[in-house]
This record gives sequence, C-alpha cells and structure tokens, in this order.
Amino acid sequence: MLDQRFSEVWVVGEIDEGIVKALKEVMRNERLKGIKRLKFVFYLSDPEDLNYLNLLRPVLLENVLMSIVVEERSVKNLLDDVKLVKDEVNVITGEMVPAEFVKAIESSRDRLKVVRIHG
Amino acid sequence: MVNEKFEIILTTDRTMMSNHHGKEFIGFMTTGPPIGMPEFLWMWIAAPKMKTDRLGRPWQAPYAMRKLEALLQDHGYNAAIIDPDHLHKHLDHAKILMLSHHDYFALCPPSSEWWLVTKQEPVNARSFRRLMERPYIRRAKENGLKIVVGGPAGWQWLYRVDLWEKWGVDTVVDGEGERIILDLVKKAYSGEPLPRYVFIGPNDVPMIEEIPKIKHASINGLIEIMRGCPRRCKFCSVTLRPLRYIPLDMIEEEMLVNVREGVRGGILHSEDVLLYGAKGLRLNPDALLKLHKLARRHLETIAWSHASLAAIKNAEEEYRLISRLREIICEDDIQEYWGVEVGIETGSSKLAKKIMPAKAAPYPAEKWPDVVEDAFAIMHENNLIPAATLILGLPEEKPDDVVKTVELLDRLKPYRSLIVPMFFVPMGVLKNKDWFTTFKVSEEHIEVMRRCLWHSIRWAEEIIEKFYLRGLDKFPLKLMLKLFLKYVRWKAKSVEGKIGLRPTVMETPFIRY
Repeated sequence: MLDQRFSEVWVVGEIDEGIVKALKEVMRNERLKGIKRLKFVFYLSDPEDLNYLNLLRPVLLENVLMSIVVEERSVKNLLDDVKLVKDEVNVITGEMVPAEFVKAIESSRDRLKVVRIHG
Repeated sequence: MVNEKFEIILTTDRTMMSNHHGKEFIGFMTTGPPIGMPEFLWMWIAAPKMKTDRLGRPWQAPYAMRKLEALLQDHGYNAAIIDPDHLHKHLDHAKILMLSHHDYFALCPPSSEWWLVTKQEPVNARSFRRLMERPYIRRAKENGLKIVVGGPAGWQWLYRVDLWEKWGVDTVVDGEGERIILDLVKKAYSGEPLPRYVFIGPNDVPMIEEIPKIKHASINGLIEIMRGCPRRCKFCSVTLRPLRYIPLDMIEEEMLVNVREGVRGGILHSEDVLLYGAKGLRLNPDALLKLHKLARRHLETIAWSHASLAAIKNAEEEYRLISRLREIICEDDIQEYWGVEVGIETGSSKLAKKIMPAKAAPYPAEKWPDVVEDAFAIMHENNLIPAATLILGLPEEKPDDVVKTVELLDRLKPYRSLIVPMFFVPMGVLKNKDWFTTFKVSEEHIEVMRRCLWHSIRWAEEIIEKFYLRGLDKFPLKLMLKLFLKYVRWKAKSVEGKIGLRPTVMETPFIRY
C-alpha cells in the first residue's frame, strides 16, 4: 500500500490552531480533487515529541474517505528533501521556521505549493 | 520443525486472549469494572486464561490476529501469536510486536458507559495497561523492538498520545490491515523509519483474494462471512468500507481449521449475517441456507455475531427464513437456541430517519419502532436470543426522542433479550463529533438505563437458567453469575432508593419487574 502514490503535505514549524485549520482545508481540497491517498510529513525540531498528534486529532478524525499516512522527520532533513521533490507538494509553514528553510521553500515554489506562511 | 525464535509476535491482553468459557456473551463482562467482587474473580469469570502450547501459542486467538498471523507466515515471516503470559519468552529475539484490541482504553461502548456510571476503570483498560507496563516490553523496546498497534480500536490512540509516547508505540494502524502490514514489516526489517499513523481508506481495503485464510483456531470458532455493510448508518465505521462476501469454500476451510483444533462451535461473523450474499439489501435466502447447512455439517453449535432487526423481520415475513434457519441450526435438537447482537439504537423514528435511514429497509424508517418489536417477537418465537444495544446521546437527539426509546423498551418487555444502553461514541462519518466529555445525562437517559437494567436482569436470570449455562461443568460459573445478578438487583434497588429516582417524569407508566 505504501508503494502507491500519495499526495504529500509537508508541515514545517510549530503546530498551532492555524496550521490545523490549514491542514483541514488542504484535506478538503484534496478530497474534492478525488485524491485517495494523502501523506502528512511533519518536520519537527524534536521528532520524538508526539504532542503534535493531539492537535492533529481533529484533522485525522474528519477524514473517512482517503488513506492517510503520518510521518515525522527532523527539520534538519528539510533542505535535502526539498531538493528531491518531483511531484507537487503542499507545504504549510508555521511560526519559528528558520530563515534558511523559508528561503529554500520559497526558491522551490515551482514544485512546492506553499499554502500558508506565518509572519 | 518450528523455528522457536519468532521474529514477529502478535499479542493482546487477557481480556481479548480468552474464550470466555466458550461463551462469547460473557466476554462483555470485560468491558466493565469488577462489581461486587475482587478483580481476580471478575477476570476468572469474564476472561479465563487460554490454554497454550509449550511455546506459549494459544489454543484460540482473536480472529483478526489469526488473519495477520496467516498473512505473515504465508509471506515467509517467522511470526506467531503468543499468549500475553508467555511474552517474556520471546521478546529478546523479536523484531516486531503487534498488538490488537477491541477497546484499548475502554473508550468504546459499553466500556465508556460502565466507567461513567461506576466511576471505575473497566478491566479491559486495566488489563491492557498492565500488559504494556511489563518491564520486559520496555527492555525489548530499548533494544530496538518495533511496536505496531491496530485493530478496531486503533483510533483510540489519538486520544491517548501520552501513552502512545510513553509505551514507545511506533505505528498506529486504523483500518483493515492486510495491505499495510507487509509494508510495515519490510520497513522495520530494513531499518527504515515507520510511519507514525496509518488510516486505511476504502480504496485500500483488501479484495477477497488478498484476505488470507486462518491457520489456527479462532476464539469460539468465529469466522468472518463478509466485510462491510450497505446500510450506511452514520455512527458506524464498518459501513464506510466496501461490501465483500467471503466465498463458501473459504468459510468451510476456516471452519475445518477450527474443528481440527478442537473448536467445534462457530460464530458466523458479519455486521448483518442475514445480508450474506444479498444484492444490495435484497436478501438471498439460497445463499443463507447453503451457508447454514455448511455450518451445520461441520459445527456442533452455531451462533451469529450480528444481524439487523429489519433483516430479521424481512427474512421471516417474506421467506419464513428465520424459521427455516432455525430448523437447520437446531436440527435434531443439537442446540436449543442461538445468540446474536442486534442494534435498536433508538426508539425514535424521527431520529432513526436522520441518523440511520437505511437501518429499517426494506421498511420505511418511520416504522422503525414497529420493525424492532416485530423482529423481537420473531426472535423470541424462534429461540434466537439477542443482546441488543441502543445509543444514548446521538447527535441531534432531543428529550422527546429518548422518551420514544423508553416507550419502545416498554413494548419489548415480553421478549427474551438483553438490552444494553450505550453512550454515543463518534465513529463512522460522525467520528469528528463531540464526545461524551460534553455529554449530559438527562432524566430521560436515566429512565432508559433503568428500564434496560431491569429488563436485562429479569431475562438474564431466565437465559442463564434455561439456555446458556447447562451441564455440570458450567455449574460454578452459573452459580457465580447468578450471585452476581442477585447483587446487581440488590445494588440497583438500593441506589434507586438512595437517590429517590421518580419515574413520574416519563409519560409512560413505571414498569415493575
């Protein structure tokens, strides 16, 4: 199943209510487009801290139609991952994102669809 | 020769890894806290230990875990289900620990309800916590063991992220596992990071040919005859998945697996057994007769997991099918009765129309209370004993809807059955709705609960005496359950007296049992 194509959503920065709202919106849009599989990748400063799942719960529970995979990655991987992007990726950025990451995301706007940036 | 060093261990806690003395209904006691007796005694009644082999492999194990065990073994993995008391023998060399449960944290009905009413944590959640806090699991985790959890209660981990983190659970899987589990195992074996959470959508459920056949006995001979349900009730998650009928030859092979391993009874599992082979909601009597003749050929006792009340009424009225199935099931007096779980959900046709418009089909939703009563009468006449549930606190429920439920309960008084009220837990398309944290128990709800309690006590005494626990070997259990019922009767009366409950708030007359 994981070999199938998943539409990807990257979340960078501290998770807050704003990001949750943006995630719900992306999820609805993807569903309306007929997407069947969605992958949320959370770029976290501490990937061992699962607290973000508490905020993510209403997003996950709103879905009944799409397969959803949630992954965590260290924010340190972001620059490398940006270089490897082939298909369009939705990116949601929150607060406290270091400038170099924002710059990398901005410079890859042809492949990354930036949904929301704080500040 | 079995390689005794299993790399993938599947397990669960004692409340799940038990055949409940061969009586599936008794398993419901694992959803409650110990009442009127010490926990060890409650556990002995509700979830006695399972017989195992030298390696700790249980004689019977939960069906869904048997499916995954078979899938992994078919793909060459050295995997086995291990009884929770024998885990310590295997974790040192295991790579992956897979857990499954119906109700990890007692958040599902009826556990959540018993918890709310008694203010005590049910034994299923206690037992699972004790399992997860065993030091050797922590030690194995520190040594690199991957923990994957799933099963019908997978969603509950989203409400207990603290324990998800504390117990080092790597991945939570929510949904039918056949297509994802091999991917996860491959990733774990190759050292790749595992996803934290996977929800299996309707497009990724397995097709019939992808569903493996069990290789060892399932608890009480439970065998799946179909997956999914076409009724589309809004509170149900099963209905979101496509409908798949398991072919008779596959059902037969699994029955024979159970029989070969000494489990001679069987439970036909479906959300609605009477829809086996149906075209939409149109019953298929031929498929049902063939299925039951097959079961009769191989099994000593037959039970149904679930059936819908509309299908029961329709089956009897249109095809005399319940009577015909009874003739097969109870042939030569081999068994006198059979059991089933049914959902009343509400006595309000208005609410039924909103929340479960096809539950009454082929009858109109407006006739729902009549459908329920007619089906109860049919079951009573045919010795089909239902454990019925109803849901309190459904979204959009008004006090008047609950009064309708009270009225329906009055109409069901003459019919042999157990009726359990459950608080609404958001599942299915309603799973994002507010939960019972915001649920207010009204006087009407209390009246429903009282009527259910007295109805169930009255009929449980008769069911235990005349049907359920016959034979000398069942005498100690029968005695314990009868004492328990006496205690519940006494306790209920004393609580009612203390809080001075007055039934005058209801429009229907107070019923004395």
